[in-house]
Amino acid sequence: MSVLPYSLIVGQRELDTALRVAYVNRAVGGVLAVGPRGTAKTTMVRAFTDMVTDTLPVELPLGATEDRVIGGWQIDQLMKGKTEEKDGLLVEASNSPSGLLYVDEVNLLDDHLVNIMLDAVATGHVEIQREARSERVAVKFTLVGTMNPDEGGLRPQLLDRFGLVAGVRSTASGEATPDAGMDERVEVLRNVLRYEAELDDPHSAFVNDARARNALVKRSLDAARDLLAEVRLDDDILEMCAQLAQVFNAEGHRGALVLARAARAVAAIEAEPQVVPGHVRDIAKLALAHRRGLAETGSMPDWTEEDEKKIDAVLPPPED
Amino acid sequence: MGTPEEERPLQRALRLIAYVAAEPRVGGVLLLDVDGLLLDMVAERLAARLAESLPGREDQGNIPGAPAPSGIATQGDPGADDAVGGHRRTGTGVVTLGAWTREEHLWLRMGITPKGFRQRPGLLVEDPAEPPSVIVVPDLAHASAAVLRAAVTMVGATVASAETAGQSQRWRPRAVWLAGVRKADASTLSPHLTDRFPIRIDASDWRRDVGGLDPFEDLSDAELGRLVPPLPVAPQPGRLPSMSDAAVLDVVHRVPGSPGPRRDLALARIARAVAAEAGASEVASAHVEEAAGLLDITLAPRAAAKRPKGRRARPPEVVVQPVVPGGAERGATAPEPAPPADLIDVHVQQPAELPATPGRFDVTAAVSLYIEDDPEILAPRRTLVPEGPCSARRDRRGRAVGVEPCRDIHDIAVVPTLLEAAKFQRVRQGPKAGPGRLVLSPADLRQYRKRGRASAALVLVLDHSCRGDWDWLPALRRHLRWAHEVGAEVVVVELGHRAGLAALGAERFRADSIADPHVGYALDRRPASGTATPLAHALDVAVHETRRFLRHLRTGSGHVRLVVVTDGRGNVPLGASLRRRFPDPIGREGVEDALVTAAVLRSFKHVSGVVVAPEVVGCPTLPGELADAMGARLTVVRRGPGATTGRAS
Repeated sequence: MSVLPYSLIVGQRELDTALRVAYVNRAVGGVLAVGPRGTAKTTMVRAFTDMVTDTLPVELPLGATEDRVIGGWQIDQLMKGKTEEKDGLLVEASNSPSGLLYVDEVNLLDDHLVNIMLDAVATGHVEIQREARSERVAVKFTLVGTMNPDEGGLRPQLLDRFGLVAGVRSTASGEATPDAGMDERVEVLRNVLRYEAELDDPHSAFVNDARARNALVKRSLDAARDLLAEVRLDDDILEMCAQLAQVFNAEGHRGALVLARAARAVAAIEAEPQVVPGHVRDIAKLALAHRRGLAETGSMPDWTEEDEKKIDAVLPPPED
Repeated sequence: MGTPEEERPLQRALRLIAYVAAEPRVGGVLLLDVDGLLLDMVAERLAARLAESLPGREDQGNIPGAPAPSGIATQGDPGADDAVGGHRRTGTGVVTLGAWTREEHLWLRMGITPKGFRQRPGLLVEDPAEPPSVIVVPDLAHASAAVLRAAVTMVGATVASAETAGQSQRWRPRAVWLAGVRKADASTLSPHLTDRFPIRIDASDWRRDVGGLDPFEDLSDAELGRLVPPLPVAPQPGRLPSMSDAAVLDVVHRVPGSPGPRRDLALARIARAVAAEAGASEVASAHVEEAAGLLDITLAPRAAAKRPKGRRARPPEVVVQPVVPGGAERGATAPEPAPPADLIDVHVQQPAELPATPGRFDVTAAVSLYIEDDPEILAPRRTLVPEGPCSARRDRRGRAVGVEPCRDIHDIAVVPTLLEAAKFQRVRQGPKAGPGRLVLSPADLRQYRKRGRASAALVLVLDHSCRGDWDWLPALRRHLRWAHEVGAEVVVVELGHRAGLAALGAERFRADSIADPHVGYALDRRPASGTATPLAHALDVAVHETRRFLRHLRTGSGHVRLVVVTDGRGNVPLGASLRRRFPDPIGREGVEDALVTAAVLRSFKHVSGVVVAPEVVGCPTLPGELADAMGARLTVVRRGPGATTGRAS
């Protein structure tokens, strides 16, 4: 497998958090990574799935045909006069070890495929009513998408289906990322080039160490998954989640629900027995940034100090 | 091998391409102003090199756990190599893609081979048993959206997949992409796309290098071979040299304005190939310098290179030609009837400023190979949304809404065809009927009936807050008539007709045609009593809707007409609309946001824009500024009852 090990990926803290949270608590819903070109969004999603399941995610590529998304027949068998069904990608994703359906450049996906996905996510079923098949298949998968906003936004219905939205930033954009910059670029170069050079060397300490760190992360995430059901979520935390959803004008209840579920996953990852306001604070931006105000065009206003102040108004000050 | 200073441009480019062959992860190569014949020859040289150095191996392109395509003829099967659809797959592993390429060419094709009715892998699906291909796109600026989307998802990727017509294919892309583009068109490419092509070569001098080349001259293969020699020797794959700290720091600190890791990595990988060729076990600064020279990247002096954290370097300077608004010219498909006498169309065009020293206005010397680095470039850019075929054939795309007998063999629906054939097997095969055999008849062939789509759209932005003592219908009539004549779909974006919080945002509705009564209601609606004018948000919605139409307008003749009726006095910043929060204080931010949002519209192809405005007393230049930002025409209508004469603002 030539996918860069997850532990060698530099930066991208928000997407890292979102993927971990969505893995620990699948009820959070999907993850959308939004960022400019060349920011390793796709690499990160593939590497994460590879780390937690030793496989790559089921991918819905641009140009996929409807039969492959919903399900159809084994064509080669049909040509021999035999009828063997072939699962579509939604069912494959549901049955895959990762339970992920990954859509790269999700904002370029054809509308009718988006509609099919939305139906499946909303109902938990895929209706196959085509080409002499008539059945209803239960599906449950986590939708993960990546997109470059230069090519346009997402439909609000689809945006709403992503539990968490992570902003991915370029390590080279110094002004936009004061905490990133040269050091990160250096580290990216070192990691990628050394991995390429030593990939085929079974004795490479560098590669073996990266894989060992991957295994550690996976173990801790699996432990968090096991702990999740035991993490206490008190009423005062639920109330804070609801208040935050309200002050951010999040329509419907999904914002508050996702926030509470995600905060619980954060607590589980930190091996805490109960959710505290700090966990809510850690994940609030990812759960609410795309639910603020009008989402008619998929345009998301920047996250500003004003938004941070809204969080401060609801949550107690962070403990040092 | 000589030093870069002694080499001719073609020789130098061949050396660089040899390094690309040695480091195929480097990404795509974009050649500016390249001669098509020379590009073909270079591609064949590269393919030959890849075949020598990276012969196919069963384990090279396989992905553990990836679905194995079944029942697909491989490239090696008789009849599998072909030139269907104008694509060329030569015996040397070169595939040529262009404006004629559609999705189905790329991923999975149906056809009749000597072995019968078979599915065949598309042009981009790689066979791990074969050496990597060279994918040539002679004109990236005019390649189909299918090609552009494929490039964005495949070039430099570790995994590629295709999910079409019952087949699931996944492979590790090893092909090397060579794309040509004219310098004049380079700025029309999406930065998202050009990022996949970090290696840039200025090929404008190649023809001179080979002593001129007459494309109509019938040169023999031997003569052509002498023009473009084989690629110079480059390192064979093996243990790659490691990067020294100095080399890594040089790549990061001495390259001004690198926009992201892809370009850093490309420079570092070429430097590594240079080091490997020199037999070095470690990449040193000298190798980085040589690689930068090959890539035409100017390294900053080492002493001054270390920039403070968090400060972005200025991109290389690029001379930008004054941009002439081209809304009317871009994609207009039918001659306009003459405007009524009471209207005047004002073609907004800022006078181009002459350079202070005309003698030094040297465009060719200043054009950067990385033209997307210049934030001032505002040429219309191609989006990656899918387009339809450019021919006049009926639309074969869109959503399938049924099945019908085939009219030709270009769009066979496989499963319905097989199901149709299945009904008659007992009759056709008689007592010999059994599994493993299927007899097809031409009468079985089926194709999908596709939902028809309009080939034109009207996006109408109505700013009710500027309604008063003027009538916008005369100015709109010809656009409404056009929409009626071409059967355009319609989307209406309204603002200034609500009160309270709702006034902060624009609203839109879609209609199948101009005949929808809701369009009439919108045109007659009266303004609200409030003063909020969320023009920036309305334009944001218009951008979104225009993109959506461009995605759905499946025919090459598709066209969107965007008509914005406003006086330009937007007073709600986009952020305030999106957050549904009243701005405080009200300043020019709303206008500025509207202009910035409108500028996005200028970048769309197949879109013509019109701004219809009343005479504006307070801020007479605002409609003009908006039209200029959009690249649109401006129509000014005189206010007042009975007014019949317009004038330019």
